Amino acid sequence: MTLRTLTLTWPRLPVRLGVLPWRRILHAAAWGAPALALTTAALLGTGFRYETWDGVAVASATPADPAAPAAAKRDLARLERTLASRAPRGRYIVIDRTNNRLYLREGDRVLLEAACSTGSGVVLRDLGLDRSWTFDTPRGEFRVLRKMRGPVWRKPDWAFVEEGKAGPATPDDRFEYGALGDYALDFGNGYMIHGTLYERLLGRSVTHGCIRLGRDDLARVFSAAPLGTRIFVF
Amino acid sequence: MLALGLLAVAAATTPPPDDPARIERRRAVLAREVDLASTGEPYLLLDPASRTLALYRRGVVLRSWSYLRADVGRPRVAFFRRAAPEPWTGRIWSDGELEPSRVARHVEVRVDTAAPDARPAEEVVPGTPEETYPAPDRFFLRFGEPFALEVRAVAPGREAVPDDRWDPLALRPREARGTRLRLWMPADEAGALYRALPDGIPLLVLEP
Repeated sequence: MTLRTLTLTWPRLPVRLGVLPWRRILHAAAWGAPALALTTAALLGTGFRYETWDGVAVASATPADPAAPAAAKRDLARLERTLASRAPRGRYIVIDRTNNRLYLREGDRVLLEAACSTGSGVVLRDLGLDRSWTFDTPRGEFRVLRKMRGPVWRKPDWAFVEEGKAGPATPDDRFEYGALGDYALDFGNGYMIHGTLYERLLGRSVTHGCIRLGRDDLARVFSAAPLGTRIFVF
Repeated sequence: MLALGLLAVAAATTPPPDDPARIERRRAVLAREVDLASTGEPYLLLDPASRTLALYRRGVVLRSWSYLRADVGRPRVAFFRRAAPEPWTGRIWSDGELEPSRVARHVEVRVDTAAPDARPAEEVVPGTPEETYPAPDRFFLRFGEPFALEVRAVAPGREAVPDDRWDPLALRPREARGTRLRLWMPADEAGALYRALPDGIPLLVLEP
């Protein structure tokens, strides 16, 4: 059996190789193979070529104007003063919400880095009274407005809803002692930095929006951050 | 003689601090830094001198991440370089978007306090930050068409940064004239950066 008489029976219809346009196929292959090779090479040569960057300004966006160096120097000093004036003086607190870390900083120095807990992002819906709460820690810039020793927690409505109740049975039910730890730093709208009974959960987003700290870290932040200390939450 | 020769070479390669061009560049970059600090919103500064990428707000550091090595990537098409890239140092790149994006999950808990058999809400204990927002080994912060910051994690226990110079077929049509600045970071730093980056953040690459 020669190639010409070979009959292919797959898929269904028999195809006799002898009737295929061999000349055209060979012609196409002669042109197609180099084109395919060139295309492949071009694709392989398309991408990003990396070189180590040592910080030297490449193709700077700020062309030099050497016309007035003295004026530029004065302007430089003025800008440095302006930038310094934008920054808060003294210590400040930084909260990294997604990583659940708290930093107490002063300029470039980190005075304390601690695991904390921030808002869980849980949405609580009370189907009975058609109300809901989202437990997020707000981003932004705040200040320590109030400092409390032995804080007492005045439970909001959501705390009762979580317990399956519509509200407190008696006014005294609103108050819980010891739940917030030894200290609290209030930064407005009901949000505080405070202690916790659940230190094993530090580092996880479990709160209703407040920031929980471990006992020792809380004591350090409380003593180091006076009223008015800025709190940056990101 | 040798010392004098070395001093002469150093003097020839390092621009003097009073170099007018250098002062002018410093002034222009500082003006942009003041602009960013005045917005009251967070922004990123990349400082090649200290090898850090830092998150700022109002001129103060919120958090910083150190990198091991920086590479600049330029596109090549069929092995040929494209035209000269746009200037990318000393200018503000706006609206940085993470790729892949970080998805915040909100769990909904329902309680019917009006029901006679109302039960307390189920306690939800979320995972650690690493579990909640797993960070990829490679991610981008893209600033529109021409510029992207690429972060690569160096696996723990690995001593040297991989000498990975070529990223084939990674060119998107919109990146054809772009530049990538690739930062190699320890895996834990890269992961923390991925989790912390706010949406739409601007970046300023400082000039040394």
